[in-house]
Amino acid sequence: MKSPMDQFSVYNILELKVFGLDISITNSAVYMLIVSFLFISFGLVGVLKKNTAYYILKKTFDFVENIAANNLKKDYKQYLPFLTSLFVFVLLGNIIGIIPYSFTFTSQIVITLSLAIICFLISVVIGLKKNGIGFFRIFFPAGTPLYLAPIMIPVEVISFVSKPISLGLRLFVNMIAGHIMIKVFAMLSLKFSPAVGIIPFILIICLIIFESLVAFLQAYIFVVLTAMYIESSRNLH
Amino acid sequence: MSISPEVLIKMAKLIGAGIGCIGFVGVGIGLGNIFKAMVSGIAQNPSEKDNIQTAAMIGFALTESVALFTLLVIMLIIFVV
Repeated sequence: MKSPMDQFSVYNILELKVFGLDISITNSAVYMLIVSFLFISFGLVGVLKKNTAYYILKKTFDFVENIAANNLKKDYKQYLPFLTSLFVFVLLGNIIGIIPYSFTFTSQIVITLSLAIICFLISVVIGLKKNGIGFFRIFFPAGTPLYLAPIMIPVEVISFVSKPISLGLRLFVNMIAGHIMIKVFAMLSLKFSPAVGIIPFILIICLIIFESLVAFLQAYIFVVLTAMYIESSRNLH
Repeated sequence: MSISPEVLIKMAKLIGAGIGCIGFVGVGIGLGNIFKAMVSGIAQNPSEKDNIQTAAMIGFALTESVALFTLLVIMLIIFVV
């Protein structure tokens, strides 16, 4: 009997080795390429012929612009391409796992943690560029008495360093939990006769609906938190 | 009768995983608090419904992530030493 964790195994499809580095194409890389190709072709078709694809794309862009305008108080237009591509990548990566026999690449800790660390480093570099060395005022909020400094600074540093870890871990665990629950109920449904096995099957349908809501919500939360971190390192809160 | 060390370790892992489930109590209380504030906010000020709902969804996702961190620790205890 296969275990519920078998669906997350990454295997090589095409072996490539460049100067001793292993950059073989795995199944997770194939799905990342599928997702990027989907978005690019959707965008090209929508812009060249103004049909439904154009309006879906416009709705997505307006949604992300809403997020940016609410969280980044001014000069938010320069971050829109980055936030939009991040949103579409994470959203499509989460949703493509609902198709049977496919692979959710955001359920790999490597991918979500790398994405989160990149977004966090972007916010740190933006803060350093805008504020110079005064960026480190973020660990010591203005107006606190000096004798609180030995307690406040370690606490602020720890909470600052835990931002990328929690960002990546949140996306990873949400995706893994949904998929494991579905597989466990599927195994339960197989153990009984078909007449009794229909009950876990209906539960699986409800779980898939819930999991698609969680996919959308987690993509939204990822982009909202990235925008908040950029804003908090820009005006030092 | 004596218990072999592997069986003892597996027993201890499972007991630890069960005790770790106590962490979900706090998450349940926190989620209830968020939606209580959302419902009373919409009841007092119906014109601000969109803002309140957006803030409640962000709060829900952030609190739910604590529950999932606990779940991750439990899975690590059972399956990875």
